[in-house]
Amino acid sequence: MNTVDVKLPTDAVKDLLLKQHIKFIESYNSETNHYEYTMTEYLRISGIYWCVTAMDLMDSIDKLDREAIVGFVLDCQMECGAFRPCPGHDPHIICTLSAVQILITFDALNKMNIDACINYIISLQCKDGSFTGDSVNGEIDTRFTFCAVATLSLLNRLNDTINVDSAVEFIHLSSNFDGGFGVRPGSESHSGQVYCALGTLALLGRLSEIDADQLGWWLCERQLPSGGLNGRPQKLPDVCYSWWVLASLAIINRLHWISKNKLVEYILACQDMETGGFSDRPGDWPDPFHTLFGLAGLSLLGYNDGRSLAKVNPVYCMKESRLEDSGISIPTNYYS
Amino acid sequence: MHGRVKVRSTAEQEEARKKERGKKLLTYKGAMSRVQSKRDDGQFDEEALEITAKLLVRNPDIATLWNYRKEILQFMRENKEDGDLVCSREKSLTETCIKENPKSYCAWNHRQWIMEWLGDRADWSEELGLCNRFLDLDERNFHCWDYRRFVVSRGGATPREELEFTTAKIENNISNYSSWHYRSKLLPLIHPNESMEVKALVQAGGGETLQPDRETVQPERDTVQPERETVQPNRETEQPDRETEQPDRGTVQSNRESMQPDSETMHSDMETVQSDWEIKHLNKATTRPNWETISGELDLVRNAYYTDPNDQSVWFYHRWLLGPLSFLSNRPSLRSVCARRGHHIAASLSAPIGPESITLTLDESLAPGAWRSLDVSSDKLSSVWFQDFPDNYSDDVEVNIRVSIDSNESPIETKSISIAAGNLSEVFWRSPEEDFDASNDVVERTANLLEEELEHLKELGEMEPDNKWILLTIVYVMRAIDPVKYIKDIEDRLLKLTEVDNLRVNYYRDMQSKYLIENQLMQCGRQTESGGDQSYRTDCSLSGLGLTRLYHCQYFLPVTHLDVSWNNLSNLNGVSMLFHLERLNADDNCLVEIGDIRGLKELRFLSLQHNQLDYSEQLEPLKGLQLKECLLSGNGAATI
Repeated sequence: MNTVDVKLPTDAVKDLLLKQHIKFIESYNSETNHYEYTMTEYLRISGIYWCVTAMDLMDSIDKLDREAIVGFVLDCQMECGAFRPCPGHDPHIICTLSAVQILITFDALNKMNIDACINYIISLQCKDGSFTGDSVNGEIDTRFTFCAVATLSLLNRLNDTINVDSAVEFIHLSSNFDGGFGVRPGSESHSGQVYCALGTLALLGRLSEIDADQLGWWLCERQLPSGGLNGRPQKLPDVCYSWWVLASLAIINRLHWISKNKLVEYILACQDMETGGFSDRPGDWPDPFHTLFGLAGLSLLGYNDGRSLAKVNPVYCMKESRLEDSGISIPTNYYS
Repeated sequence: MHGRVKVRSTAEQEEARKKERGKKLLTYKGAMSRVQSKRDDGQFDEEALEITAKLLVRNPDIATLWNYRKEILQFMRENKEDGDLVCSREKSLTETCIKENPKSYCAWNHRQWIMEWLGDRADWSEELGLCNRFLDLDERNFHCWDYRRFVVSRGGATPREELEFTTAKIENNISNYSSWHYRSKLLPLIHPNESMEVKALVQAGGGETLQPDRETVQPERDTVQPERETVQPNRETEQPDRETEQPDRGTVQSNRESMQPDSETMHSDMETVQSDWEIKHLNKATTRPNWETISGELDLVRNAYYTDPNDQSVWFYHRWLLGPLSFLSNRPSLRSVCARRGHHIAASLSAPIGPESITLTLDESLAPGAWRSLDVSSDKLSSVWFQDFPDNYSDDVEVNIRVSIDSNESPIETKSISIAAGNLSEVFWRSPEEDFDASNDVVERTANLLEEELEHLKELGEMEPDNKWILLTIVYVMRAIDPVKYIKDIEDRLLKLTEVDNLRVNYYRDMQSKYLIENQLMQCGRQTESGGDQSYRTDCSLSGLGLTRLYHCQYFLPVTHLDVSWNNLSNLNGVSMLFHLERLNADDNCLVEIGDIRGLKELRFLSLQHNQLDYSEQLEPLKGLQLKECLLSGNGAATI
């Protein structure tokens, strides 16, 4: 059986095309990308978070229209406290996290209704510790646990709000034979969910409850011969996993269990020389989502000794200095 | 956003594409605008269903449209519309959408929502058929597998039938991970681990099912949200043996718009009977099948790995099947208690616990102070806790010290030591070897099985000498059988692994370090120091072992002299909890950072020669220490 993988092209990009990426994000708006922009309005606010954070990691946030973006985000907060992705769409916990991340980046947190937001998040927690994504569907997902906990942590209100013990228990119920975590109890392990679970445990100070060696092994086995990382066994590599997997490894202090050089090679090969931006794998269309995670991955890997990109925080996926400036306690010294 | 290949197109093709997109955009915008204004007007009618359906078939991920549909359906229900017709339309729509995007969270969720609405009127075998079809298209579609588990929880199939299903899938397919994963959930359900411990825990919980109550009831809060109730499915099946599948989440409804007819079961807000500790153990214990099943399953696994030794999914599964074979306990138990007059009382454990679970008593009264932790991570749990030694004890009086680990306020393990009059310190240290003996209920039963497995693996390994899965599994099995006997074989294979699987070289090196330290710990207990019947080491050498990582540091708490020189350490993580350390030699490593060692208050001699500490920032951690001597030559920062 052959390994499912890609082959890096011989003329793959070998340097970081920083200027092109700045241009790519800058011009990613309703004019140049009218079609994608409109068709993805149901996740607009998360798209903004990807763009804003990518620019921040490239130390180019001044190129964005702060007023317009903050205005848009604030307009997305609903009476219930949660944020919607854009006008005309319903609020959701994922959008809420993105909103708070954007506001912190632009130092405009005080402009939102923090209490209403906190109350909304509290109301989403179920008795078994899990979280729904909104108040109308019953959908439960460990992603929503992470969104809830991360948002509360960024708002500095983890201590007196949700039931932490049951939230952690639910995470453990979602763990599997391979040490990984799935969408909900019974679900197959998936790197995105692993990231959400580890991020949650890190923020709640409960990382020591997992077997880091076992999970670390499953995570480092995501690396394929091409150097790229996949999301679960026997799947193709994707640049966004150079975030989910990498951040997970960083959180449990086992980043060195993959080959950094080979991964850097893969990520760089995912750049689009014509337009800038990163795509999921070499030769595909680039987009802001993969651009953020490509850059974040390179930052975590210490690309160019940290001289090209700002340092990213592996739990929040935000510029670390931005968090420090905002007085947010970063769970440093992750699991040793 | 994923998997969209950038294909070169001519100017003509570009033009055509632009035109088509322009049209799509107009249609989309028009429809969305119409939908939004109808919704704002509170219109819940056929037209709304039509427009949203048209949009969703092209864009199944627009959650808001599904939400609107739910509102419309609820409205129609209240107005006595034909529920079955409505539902069949939703089923048809969701199926079309799932075909369009098999990975659409909202589409699958909506279908589940509809099924829950139908309740007893749902055709679960039809749903199972849907799952079969979609799994034929993509055996790794986890949305479909999760939906399938939901269907099974409603009686769509029994766990045994599901087990057969996975067997068939594994025999026919290459990409099997999802099936093996499902088996790992089904086996413990069908053949639960009936050990005494598990039985006792289940009885204590008074449970017919093995899961804690999973209910969504929000207590009274001053929030904007109305109280929401989850409707739990009836979780008891007809089968005599307890084959209850884990129920998937019920739908959450707002109180004022209850979708569910009154025939559904509603659970009352009961407190869970079990303690947190018991639940933890229960969950861990019940995630493994019984022993006979494991042996039987190994046959299936062997067939699989003989058929295709490169199929990684079977190797992950195999690892789980063999079980946690480390001899070191992962349940918190006391490893050592160290007390020094005028300084501290410290306790180390095999696994981290919180400070509320450990109690210190001095001469029969509770110690006044609070436990502090030196664990580098910001965790609330730690494997090493310490307190300051209280002031009011004079040196010429004996003091009795008792440390106990508690759960729910009752002690589950206690150790007492006494510092005799005129003595300065006392240490209790339990050798890890004792753990090894105690945990060997497991290993005893598996001894033959493991030996047999090792033979199979070695045989296969000869045919496939570069297969990393076989090499790694042999290492794992050898460690379980006899880590000391196989020490050289393991080392050789780990070295081979760094060659054939170079991407993960650092993983193999860290594992080698772990095994070396574990072997050292096993041998520690076999040497006696002067100082009574306790055997512990104050002097410990881990020099020249090629260590890349320091594992199990909490086991070295009583050590005062530690030598980790001539290794490959890039940091001193773990050393921070070696509270008693007076002398540390870390020469000739590749240290690029020292780490947080400011808690090593007893440290007087530190040698860090010949490392890579080239910048003054890297020496920051030395500032808090009270060192008498610090050797730094052979570093870039030595001149600073």
